Amino acid sequence: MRNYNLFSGIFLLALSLGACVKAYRLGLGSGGSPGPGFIPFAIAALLGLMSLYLCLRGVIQIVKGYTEKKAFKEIGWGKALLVLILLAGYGVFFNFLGFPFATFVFMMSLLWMVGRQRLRLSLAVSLVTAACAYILFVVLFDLPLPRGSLWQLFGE
Amino acid sequence: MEIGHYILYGLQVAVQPANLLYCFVGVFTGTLIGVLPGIGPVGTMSLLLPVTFHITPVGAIIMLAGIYYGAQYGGSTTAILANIPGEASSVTTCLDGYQMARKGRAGLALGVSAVGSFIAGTITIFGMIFLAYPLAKAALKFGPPEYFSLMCMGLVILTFLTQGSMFKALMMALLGLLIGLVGLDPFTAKPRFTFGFKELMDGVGIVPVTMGLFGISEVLLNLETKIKRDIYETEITGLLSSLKDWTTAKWAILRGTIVGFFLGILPGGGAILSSFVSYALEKRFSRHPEQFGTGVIEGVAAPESANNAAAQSCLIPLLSLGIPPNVVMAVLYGGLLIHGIQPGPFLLRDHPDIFWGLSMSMYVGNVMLLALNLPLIGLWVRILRVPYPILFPLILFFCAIGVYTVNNSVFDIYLMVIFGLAGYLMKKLDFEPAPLAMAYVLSPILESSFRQSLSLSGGGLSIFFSRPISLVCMVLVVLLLGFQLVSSYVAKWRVQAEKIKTYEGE
Repeated sequence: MRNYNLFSGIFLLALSLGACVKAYRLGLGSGGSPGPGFIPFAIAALLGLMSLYLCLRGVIQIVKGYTEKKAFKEIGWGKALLVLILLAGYGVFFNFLGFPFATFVFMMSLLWMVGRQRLRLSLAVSLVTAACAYILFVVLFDLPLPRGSLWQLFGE
Repeated sequence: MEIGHYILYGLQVAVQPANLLYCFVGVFTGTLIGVLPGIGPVGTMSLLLPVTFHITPVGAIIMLAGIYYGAQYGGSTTAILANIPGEASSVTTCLDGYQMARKGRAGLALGVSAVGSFIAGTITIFGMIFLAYPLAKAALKFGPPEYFSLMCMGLVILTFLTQGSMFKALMMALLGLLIGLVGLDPFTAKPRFTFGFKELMDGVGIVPVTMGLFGISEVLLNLETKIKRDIYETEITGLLSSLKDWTTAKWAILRGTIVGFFLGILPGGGAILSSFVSYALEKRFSRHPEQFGTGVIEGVAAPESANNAAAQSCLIPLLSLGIPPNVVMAVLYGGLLIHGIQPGPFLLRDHPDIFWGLSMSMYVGNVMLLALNLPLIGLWVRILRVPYPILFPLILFFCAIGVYTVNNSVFDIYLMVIFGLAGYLMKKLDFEPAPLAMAYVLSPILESSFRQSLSLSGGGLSIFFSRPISLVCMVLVVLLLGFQLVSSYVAKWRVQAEKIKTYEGE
């Protein structure tokens, strides 16, 4: 049986334990002169205790056979993950492909793969966005956006 | 006399051509994002934060504040014409506003909402001027213990008022405090939780955090649901309608303004809460509560006035005490810090142009919104017709560029992706992101005031309970936490009792 209190409790418990260890290593200091790790340790410890309670609540719910209070809103991993991967990919290729081309590819993949738009429409919207963004951010605002190391290779 | 002089000074600042332009950009952008469901003021303010780096601090805060109160105006248009809350604070407007549109009274609903918002805005600005000044003077006597206790109280009230479990909201606040501590320790300059990334030495940036939690996660959630845009086709006439309608609306506007003004000041309050409370109060004290939801004018006038009043009055604790009462103000707080301005009691003395200029620009902004909003309804309706599958890639693109341009670093894009995923999962698992974001912003001051207090007391915690203001705040914190604990046990006990009753009945 899936229990999301238990899942989130375990995750937060692991996170707070890690933070406690890190904070302890930073040095806790004394009451009159707290060290850099004092506050992070106190916060992480409190969070850890609360996470432990959440885990226990989850275990009790499983043992007693309770169903989740609210119907869990199912996670739509497919689209969500695809969008996040494309966003991270935009970051990865931003410097390499350069701002205008990376923007075109990013927009194109979002419109076509996630938005399920027709190829022609996706192409047109992506082109217009990339061109307008280039004029606005690079030509008008003069923002230091990368031109792309790939094109520099060809230039050389 | 002194205040009159400052009001004139504020007007001078507000009507400078550059500031007028920033005010216009702010309220226009605010109305646009208010009209469009799926992107809120927090995301937009974070998006425009990098743009404000190149302008004066006064211009920056005028523009950012304009986005927030402009969004309240815009949200009502979508609620009335399409039955979609453009903003969360417009949910209640959908109930009666859309019904009014269906009855052919869309013009009146839009007119009442715009004029009501204007009246509420005007009254609030004067309330703000007369309240913020004495509040800031009183706050000069505050020391680190008072600040620490006040911020604790703000955080606990916010978690108390959030929808869903307070326990989970408190956990998120703690997580936000931890994230806010990433970076160099302010006392020893030792790096904390940076994991060797030099980009984290200055801490986790406010833009990737808020953009991820509120912008990206909202897009991911919207992609799963089909937003039905059933725009009501009607001729928009009778904006100012009959005198009888306005007589009914007038008192609702006034009541909504008062509720919004006070709920906006409270920590954890803001536009959303005030619109719900004012609608509930209006229905509770109405002579015909059964008609609410069928298209009564008070059901539009009260919440619309309340959300606009709250969107402006929440600036009072931010500017006079230096404590943001909600997450939108937390972003504004971050924006001011980036400009090297510390909001708080010294703001009025050291930067009078910011306080008085902002106050008066809000009045100018309200006039702009009133003049702009009604004639531009046709444009907003047309924008509303843009399908979401075309809109969301643009929102994501602007988020990515907005985040990148803060430090010209792709690292911030990765951070935004992480916080986007976190925000998405949090909403799915019933954890609220607002306490996390607010705690994250308050974390550095909370830590320094706590450490300063401990140094003052020689390590004893009694300092927080021996000073009157601090004591009151701490007592309130304990009471709220205790109340929540007791009420959850009472609720459980009632469920058990119900079960036993049913069992015995069988």
